[in-house]
Amino acid sequence: MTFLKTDRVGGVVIVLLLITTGVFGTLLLLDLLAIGPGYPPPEALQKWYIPQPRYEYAENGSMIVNRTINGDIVLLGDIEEGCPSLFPVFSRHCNYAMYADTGSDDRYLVVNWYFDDNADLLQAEMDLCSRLRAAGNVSFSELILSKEPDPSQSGSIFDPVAITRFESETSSGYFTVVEKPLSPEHDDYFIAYFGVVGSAPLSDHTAALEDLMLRSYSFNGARPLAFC
Amino acid sequence: MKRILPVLLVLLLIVSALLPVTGAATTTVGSHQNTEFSPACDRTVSVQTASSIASLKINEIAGNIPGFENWQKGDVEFSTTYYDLEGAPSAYSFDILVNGQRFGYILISATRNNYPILEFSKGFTPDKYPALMMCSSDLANSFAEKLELKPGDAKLLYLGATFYYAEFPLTDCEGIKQDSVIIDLTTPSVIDEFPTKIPVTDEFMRQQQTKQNEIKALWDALDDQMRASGPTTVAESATGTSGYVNGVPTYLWQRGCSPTASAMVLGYWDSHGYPNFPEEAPLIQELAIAMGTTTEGSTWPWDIDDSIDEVCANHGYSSMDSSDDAWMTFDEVKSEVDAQRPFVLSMWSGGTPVGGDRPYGDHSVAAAGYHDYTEDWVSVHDTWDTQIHNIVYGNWWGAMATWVRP
Repeated sequence: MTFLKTDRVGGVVIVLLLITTGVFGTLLLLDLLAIGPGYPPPEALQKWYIPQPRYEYAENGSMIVNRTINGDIVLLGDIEEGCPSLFPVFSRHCNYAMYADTGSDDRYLVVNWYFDDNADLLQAEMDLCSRLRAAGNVSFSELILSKEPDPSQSGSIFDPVAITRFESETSSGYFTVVEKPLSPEHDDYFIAYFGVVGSAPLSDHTAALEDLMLRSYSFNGARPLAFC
Repeated sequence: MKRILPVLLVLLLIVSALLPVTGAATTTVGSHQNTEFSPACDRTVSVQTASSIASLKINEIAGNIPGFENWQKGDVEFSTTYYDLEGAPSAYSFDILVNGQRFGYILISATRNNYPILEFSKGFTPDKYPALMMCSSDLANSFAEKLELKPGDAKLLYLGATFYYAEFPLTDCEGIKQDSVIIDLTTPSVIDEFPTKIPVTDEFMRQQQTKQNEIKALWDALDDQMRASGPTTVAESATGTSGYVNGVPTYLWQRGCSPTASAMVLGYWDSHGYPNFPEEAPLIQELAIAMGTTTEGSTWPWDIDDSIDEVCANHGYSSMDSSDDAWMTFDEVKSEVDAQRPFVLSMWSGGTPVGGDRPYGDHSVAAAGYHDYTEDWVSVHDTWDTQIHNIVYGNWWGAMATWVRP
């Protein structure tokens, strides 16, 4: 009788073991075969907020680069690695690009600083702010990036973006900070600058700068520079 | 489980990475023995031959890959020999010099058992980064100290796409080698153990045979080119068939690579007769919800086709038919592109794109073209930028196509 009882318990244990192994194996398989997240590497993120050209193939198979960003605004040259001489190197992941308005010949500059650590971001913001204050006028502002209405989208079509407005003799424009815009689970921090090159009233170039920002990545949750 | 998974994945990656380099030496079982690729045959490629191949190939690359145009005027300079675990040369790297300035490198196989062109890039191999080498050296020192041994000079190993290691011999106080330690140069970290035995199945043997046939065909084509060895043959080699679907948008990564890649495909159809789809961001969001993409951005690939169908139906396109194909062939890629239908390509352990610095890993991309040259390339929009990238067909551990057909 005792033998039979032990045998039955053993059987139950084996079945439970098989079920556990099966469940564990299935979970393992599900996790191993899942695709993604395919997260962009730092080399891609260092130009994340810089409007990029479009590429297509011509009939003869050669590659065409379409540098028109929007309307008359075109990318001049390529997206450059490193920071422009106007601004210091706060992050080793820094890229910038120059744009021109082919109608007015005005020049625009977009800079993207990428950080994978919040402490580095805060330090950079502190340094940047003190330098900006020394070089020109700094103030808080908000931009309304308007989009064409999309009937399939519900909710607001206007996205207010909190920015730091900077005006100086060499360049004037908008700084904004975006934290974890790709995923709340991934430490990505950006400082983006959209500005006009030279001494020019910023209000005359708001439309062009907004165009560039609309051709960029999401500014959802963007904030102005801290310490400014 | 999350702690175990990376370890298992790394083991799998190492096994798959070892296949091209050591596969021929380890897969000799019973009636499957492949004498053509047995280690008995000397299939080593000399540095001189590799240098000629590098010179020939940089012209081909300059003529075909955007951003590499200045390689046309480049010279190649031998840089490094890499070895496999058996100590045999596995690859040679050559620096590309234009007017005396370095503009990248090309890695040529040191054995005919592997693909002739292994990598090329405008960047550097990991061993050229002093910080990585210093860190590896420190790791080797710490490891040696525990065993009361001293590390010697590192030997560089290349064990397949992006798998770079440094092997440090460990000697005793009399200078006699007692052990060795291998450091992964990309992490960097100590590799405890490499799997030495690979399970040999019929399916495995079939795949290996197919792979070796491809490799042989590439070397044969290269031999023909080298024999003709004139600048005109370079132009001829650059010709072949290619196809591309223009009008596929290039979206940057949002919510996950699979919903982003799928949105690019639907974005194409939005401007080609199916205009009811929402804009980029809400479309990606809708696809991510339908696919059950995790907050981290991972997606179960067999859900991609059903989710695309669901989203299409939501916007009035029930006739759109998506289907998975885990056995995608290059001919199918060509016919799909020629029919002007982009598709989602999901890769497991995807390799480095042509001219790139980083492997794709487990990644979904929108496939929109092909190049059928001496190598077969698939042109993709990879969600990391707006450029068109090319990946060598088969440069992955596994891949699944999701065809999207109206």
